[in-house]
Amino acid sequence: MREYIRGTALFIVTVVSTVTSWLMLQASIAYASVTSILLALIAIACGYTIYFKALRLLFHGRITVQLFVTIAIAASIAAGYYIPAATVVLIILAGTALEDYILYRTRGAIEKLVNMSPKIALIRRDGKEVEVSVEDVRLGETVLVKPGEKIPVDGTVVSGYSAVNQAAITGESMPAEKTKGDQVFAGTMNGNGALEIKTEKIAEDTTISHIIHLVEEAQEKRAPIQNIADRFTTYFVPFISTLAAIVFTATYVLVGLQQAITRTVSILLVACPCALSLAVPIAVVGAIGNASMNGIIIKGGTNIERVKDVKSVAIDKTGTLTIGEPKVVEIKALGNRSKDVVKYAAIAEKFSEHPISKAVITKAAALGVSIPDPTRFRIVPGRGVEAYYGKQEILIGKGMTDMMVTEEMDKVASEFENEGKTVLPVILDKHLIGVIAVADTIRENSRDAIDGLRRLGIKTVMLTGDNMRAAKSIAGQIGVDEFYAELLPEQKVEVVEKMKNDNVVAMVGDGVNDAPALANADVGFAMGAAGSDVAIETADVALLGDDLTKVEYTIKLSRKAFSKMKMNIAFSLAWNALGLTLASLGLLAPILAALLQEAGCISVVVNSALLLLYKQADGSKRPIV
Amino acid sequence: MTVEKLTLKVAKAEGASCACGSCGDSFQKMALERALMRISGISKANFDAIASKVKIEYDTQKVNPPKITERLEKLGYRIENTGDGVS
Repeated sequence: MREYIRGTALFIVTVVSTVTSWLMLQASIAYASVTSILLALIAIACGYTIYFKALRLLFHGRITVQLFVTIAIAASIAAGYYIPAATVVLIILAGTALEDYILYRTRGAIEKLVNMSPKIALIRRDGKEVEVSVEDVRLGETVLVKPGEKIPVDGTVVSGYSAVNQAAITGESMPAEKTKGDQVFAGTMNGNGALEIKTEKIAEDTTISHIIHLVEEAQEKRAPIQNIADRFTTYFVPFISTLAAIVFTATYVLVGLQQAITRTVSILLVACPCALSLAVPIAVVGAIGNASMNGIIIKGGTNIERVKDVKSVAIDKTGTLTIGEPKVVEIKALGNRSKDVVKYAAIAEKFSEHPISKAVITKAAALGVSIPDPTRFRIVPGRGVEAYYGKQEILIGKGMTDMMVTEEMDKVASEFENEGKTVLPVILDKHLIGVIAVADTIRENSRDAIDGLRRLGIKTVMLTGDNMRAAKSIAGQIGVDEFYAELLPEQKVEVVEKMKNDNVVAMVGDGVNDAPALANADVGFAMGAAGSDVAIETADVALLGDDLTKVEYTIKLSRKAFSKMKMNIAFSLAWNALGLTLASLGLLAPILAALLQEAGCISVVVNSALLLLYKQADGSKRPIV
Repeated sequence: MTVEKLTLKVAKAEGASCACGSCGDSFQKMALERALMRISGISKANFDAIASKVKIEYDTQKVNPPKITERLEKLGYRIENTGDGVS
């Protein structure tokens, strides 16, 4: 901040004084010699930062372009070119101020995340409500969040109900419903309800702080393509020095001293490794900054380069393509009311911890059915549940019905199973009263995400531990190119390894259960990572929300970023070659040389900084150019 | 609250320094200073890119030098020495 304010101030002073001097000269108000001295002073005084820096760098054993500029300006003044000298200083100051401003803004993308976190929290302490600094909230204390306020800590909701906008973290603008037992994050925006939150993490331990730190670290990690740029920058200074010496000598001998000085000054001014050395890092910062605003953390430049090459994506089904929690999707009652079917099933399942039992109980609660305790209850492992309610015997599960398969039930069951649902027959006193179908729901945008990847020419492969029939049904609904079913976790690793033989493979999972497969892929995407520090930490790309379409976005952004890096390097080389050729031939006046140099540098900086503004055009419907 | 000063000589763990010594350096300077200032307890951070020195003022009750150097290392800097008496 300070840098570019000072830069701008210096620039304004230079403009005003140079223009005044020039006008004075034109209007013949002042003697030419007085104005000349004035201009020389302006050039020296206003450019002091450049000379000072050049000398300090020289003192530290580094010969840099700053030194070239200093020599060029000193030579111009010595040769009596006062107006050009002052103008060159002016151009360089203007260019630097503008560059610094853009760099500041590019770096600043992350400030948006930082400012999300409130500094004050309203807490309940010793029975009183008090406002304290966020850093002073103790773990376990209850924080009160009023409607429309930002949540100051990470924690679990203990009471209240609200829709919380988590865009600060997940990049998703749809608010998430939060009620007792749900996890909330510091920096997210509370909706219309009041919430009471039990504090679990404060200040620097919160998820948002964690994310900010990771983004800062990622922005410092180089992209491999930088090595190409570095190869040129290493030889830049010796090359320019040699060129300047040759051109000076040749021109001095062939044309004369005055031309020799002008050409050499132009060479020293037009040479610009800045564009070259900044071409890649700014693109890295821009792309990672952009991603962070969309709830994506890309871990460094290397991963940008890897992601752009991804040709196939392996996706773990449960929790990624599907929500990961089974739900009752259909109830088929035979002769009874479906409410009764659910009621008996819920009684039998009441004390079971199985996810499927929970789905049944949730459904019963949703239908407003009261669930009395069973008299007796027994889980038959791998088969189902056997329970008594008073004198009534309830059997649930396909494994429990060996002896009483009816044709009717068989028909219903196989219909459900072909759709990938799990079938729970409910048998009351040896009579089948109905069938409940339970299934994990496919996420709303899974299909869009897969379609988007296909448009990018990427093969999609679904991995699941589910049985073949269920897998086939879900694969068909989502539209993946291939699927592997009945996989154990270690087999998922094998599939990924096999896919890697053909091309660059990304693996998408929740980052916890499928961590080995993620680690083995060329790029591991952890989805829904906001709740798990481990997932955020270990993934190559962490998708903080639950939006699978962000995989496609990350790939597009990386491709865009990489093409900008290549474009910038090529442009910088061409621009330098052009400038140096013109200067050597005496076709470039020093002022133009300085302009050309700054224009080149700014073009590169702006081109990369524009990555921050990159957006996915209109959802995922249209391909991005 | 006790404020202590810390000077560290650092080097970018990977990569050559910019031949121009202007824009590239301020790009690093901005990033490093801001990242350090975000650590609670650090009230001032100044990175002299030419001398490769970081000067930090911190509250001893909130943060300590190991924590600061750890952050610097994570940001891709190598700590060369603690800077005292080194030019």
